[in-house]
Amino acid sequence: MSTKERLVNEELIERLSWLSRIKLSVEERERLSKEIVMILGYIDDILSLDVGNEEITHLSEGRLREDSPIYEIEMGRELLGQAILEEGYVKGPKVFKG
Amino acid sequence: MKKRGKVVSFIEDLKNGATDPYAYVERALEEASRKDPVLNIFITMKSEVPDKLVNGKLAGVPIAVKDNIVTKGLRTTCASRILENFVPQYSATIVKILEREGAVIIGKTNMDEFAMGALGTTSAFGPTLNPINTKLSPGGSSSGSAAAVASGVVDLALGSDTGGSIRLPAAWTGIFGLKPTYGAVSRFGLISYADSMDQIGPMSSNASDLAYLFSIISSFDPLDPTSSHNPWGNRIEEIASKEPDFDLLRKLKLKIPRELLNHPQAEEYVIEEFWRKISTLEKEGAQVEEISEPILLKVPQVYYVIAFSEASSNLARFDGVRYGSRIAELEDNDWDSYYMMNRSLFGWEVKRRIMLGAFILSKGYYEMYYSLALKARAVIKRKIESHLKDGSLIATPGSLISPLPINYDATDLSKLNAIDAPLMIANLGGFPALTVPTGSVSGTPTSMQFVGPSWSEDKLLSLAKVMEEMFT
Amino acid sequence: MSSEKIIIGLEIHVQLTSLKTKLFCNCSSNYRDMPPNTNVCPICLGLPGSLPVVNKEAVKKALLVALALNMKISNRVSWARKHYFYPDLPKNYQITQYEGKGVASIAREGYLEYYVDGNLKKARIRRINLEEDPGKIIYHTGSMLTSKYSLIDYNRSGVALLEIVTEPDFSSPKEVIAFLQELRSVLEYLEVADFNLEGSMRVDVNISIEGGSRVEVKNIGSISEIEAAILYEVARQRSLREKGIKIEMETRHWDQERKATVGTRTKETEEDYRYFPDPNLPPVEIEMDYLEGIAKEMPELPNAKRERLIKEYGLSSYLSYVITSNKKLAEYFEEVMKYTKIDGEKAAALIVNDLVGWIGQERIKDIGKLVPPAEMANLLELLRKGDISIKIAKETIPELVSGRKTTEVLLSRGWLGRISGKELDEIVERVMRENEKAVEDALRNPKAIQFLIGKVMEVTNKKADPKETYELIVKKIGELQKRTWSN
Ligand SMILES: [Zn+2]
Repeated sequence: MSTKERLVNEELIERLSWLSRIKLSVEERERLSKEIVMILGYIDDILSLDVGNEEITHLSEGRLREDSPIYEIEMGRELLGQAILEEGYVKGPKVFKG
Repeated sequence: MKKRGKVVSFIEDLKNGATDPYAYVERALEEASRKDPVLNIFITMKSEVPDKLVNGKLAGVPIAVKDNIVTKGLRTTCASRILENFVPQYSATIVKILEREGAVIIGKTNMDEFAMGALGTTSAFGPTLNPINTKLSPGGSSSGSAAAVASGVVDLALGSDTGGSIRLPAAWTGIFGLKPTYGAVSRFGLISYADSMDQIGPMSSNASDLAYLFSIISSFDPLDPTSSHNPWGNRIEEIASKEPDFDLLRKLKLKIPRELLNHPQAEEYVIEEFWRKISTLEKEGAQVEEISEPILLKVPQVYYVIAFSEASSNLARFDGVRYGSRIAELEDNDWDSYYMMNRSLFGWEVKRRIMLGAFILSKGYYEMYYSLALKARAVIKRKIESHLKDGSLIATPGSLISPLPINYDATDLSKLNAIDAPLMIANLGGFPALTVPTGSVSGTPTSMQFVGPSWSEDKLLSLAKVMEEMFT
Repeated sequence: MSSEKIIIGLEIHVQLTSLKTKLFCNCSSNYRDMPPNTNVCPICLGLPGSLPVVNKEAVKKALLVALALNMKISNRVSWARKHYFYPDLPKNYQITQYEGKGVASIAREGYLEYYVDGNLKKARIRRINLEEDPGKIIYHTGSMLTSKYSLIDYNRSGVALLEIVTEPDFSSPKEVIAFLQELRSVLEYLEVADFNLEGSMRVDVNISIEGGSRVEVKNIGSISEIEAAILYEVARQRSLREKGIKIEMETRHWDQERKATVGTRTKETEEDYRYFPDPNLPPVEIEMDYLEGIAKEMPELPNAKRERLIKEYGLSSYLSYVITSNKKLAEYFEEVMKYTKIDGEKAAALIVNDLVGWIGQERIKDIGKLVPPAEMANLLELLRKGDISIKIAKETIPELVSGRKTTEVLLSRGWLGRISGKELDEIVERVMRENEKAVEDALRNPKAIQFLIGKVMEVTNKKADPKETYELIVKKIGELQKRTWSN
């Protein structure tokens, strides 16, 4: 059993499913376990790379905008055409468990 | 015989009153209705000619737009069940530009779901078939846009390229595709896959129209935080209408990464054909140099770490509350269970990339993978820049392997590596990259890719015109 | 009651209400009183394809606060994403700032000095972050616990928030409140926020009793609720400890209706947030010149003003503290003092006790419009010259508040001019003659003198000085007593 196979257990799958808020079927859990091992095996190629300390997070310069409406853009409730609306509010799930 | 752009010619004829303004669009719609049932090019297609045409640089020109670019009033799905019925109420900046210039969007093209895939096969709407041979994949993720051009429905299409998604399908269907410099084309309204690499770009049946479309869509957008002003003035538009500049070849310096050409999965005929074309260019005056950069074989792994991470974050917003499909009963669920059910509508490729991204960003693995990948990205970018700083371009085959069968099971990661490695260099570094067709070998299209330093699209597009004249 | 030390740290969220637009989009930062979901655009709704662009003024305001709080400022502004799923959070991540992972808070390691019962205290500020405000959830039943669904208004989504995180440097609700009041006045001086707006300051309080785990109480909406929340939570933790139950590290919610902290049962922990640099927002360098420019624009802060008013106008430290706790009030005081030579302490007392008493705390922001400084100065100047009595001055103030002018009030009431010396002496004599009964009372009980003073005020139309009148009556009563004994 490789390190990766030991790492990828039921608990990890459960945690990734939770962190991503994606419900998985039994088959999907099995499939994910196998594929994570495979993909991490591939990605692990980079662990041996000789790199410096510089990290690239962005390819361009940052920019700030003025505090005024400088561009035109669609606004308002029409943008929520696919939401369930109740008296103008977006109807969402309850935020209490129990 | 000089090749003229079809769009460029149409616009000229239109100005001279030599053509019916509706003719181009009508023909495209007709072709679309014939080809789409066979090839599955479009997810959403328009069937009617617009009542009125807008005057502009693309007046009456039909164009196909990848379905991850939002279009007000026109369904935009990202080829996902989760956006199956999503009709945006705003348009991407690039769509506004096209509409302002009179282009007619004839449909939203099929793609890999959320642009995640190389074969076009992860689409929830079924795969697009390669117009050259319907048993083959057209390449992804901009599969529908490539097929729309390659099948002759349109001469112009928009794709997006995060890890080769414009250039691979261009190579596999035998058309022209450009991944611009990061920041050259507005991303506002492009549904994010991996923000630090996503870039919209043009695809075309010919080099002139490719340059022409690019000259129109490349502009600074205050709505895109990573948008930049380009340095070209009118140069790109001039390239579109000018004669090919063969002098270019005498100044051309090409660097060829040995590791890519020697890739274990690379197909022999591809490599042979590539060297044949290189020696032709050499005869015309180009300087050619082989370089060695072993790290290039690990470009895809670096890319995937970054892309999965960004994707896991970008795709968090699809929960069924504000937009998107929902399968959970609202009042029976708390927010967590509601989201977990709705988000199970993602296809498998998307699900696994999101979950892998969540894994990579989680405690203990962030430093091990993500931080390391950012450092590797810096190394790769620096190395490529040092090769390009003398004015060279990096040249590779457009694809190291032939188009894969449409039912290919993508579990062989080394084959995937051969597809990805040459293409993802440009995405990691933000460099522009161009794929040009160079003919075909026993019916299979061949192509070359050129990667240049940032903002060298003028040079790449001039080269495209020369190559077009020489090889097609 | 047990006596373990209480340890309190604060996370304060302040809306930058002085901005015109939200942190990352064009929408108005003033979302109040708008119909739900009308102050929204693709960006603050997190619609697919939308991208954020940072508001420059928000960065400037944050830097101003950083300077005022004596902080170390980062050399670049960078952004991170904090991931958690909640219906008021349109992207299911919040764009914020973070310390580590290649990004940094805009500033760290500062402090703020404040007074508790006249003693100077210092609270350390750990860091400040700019971030986006989520939308607002309301419940159709009025309660989170009983609602079958939530109703969301995204008008607030994306408004610029400044998160101010302190070290756990407080040991009582009193200190917390004094600190927050000082912080509020600093932020008001900097003109970054208007705290008259509902919800413009929200506080999360970390509370532990010595040796116990830290409990975070989230979302306390006003300073007045904070004391209640802290006292409740301390009592809860103590009672757990007395019962021998371990205090768990957790996040609780302040339920304003029930005046209690409630467990939220969120599974999210700090580790789950998966912070990483926002790939859409490259860092922006903070140029030294820019920072110096901001420092030059920095207004005088409450503490400095406090010291100066004491020196310049001879104010007591108490009145100086009260006057400077509100920027508008302090400015008003100084404006008034430009037109009068009256003793500063006298003017301050009249402004703080009488003028503010009549207009009310919440209208201080309009004080100069309600009673123009020149009018107030006019009144004070007449008082100084002895043309009116303090009593008349005090009674004129409400008339000024209702919009009348000083001279108009004084003339119409016949209050102008002052009776004193020989003239007053004669009036006092007469009043005492006409009120023999009262004088007899006063001979036995000095408190009865008040009646005589009142009579003198009546006769003089309040133009007599109460103090002078009192002294005259006391003198005359004293003489009467002597005469009685000598008889
Ligand atoms: Zn907005």
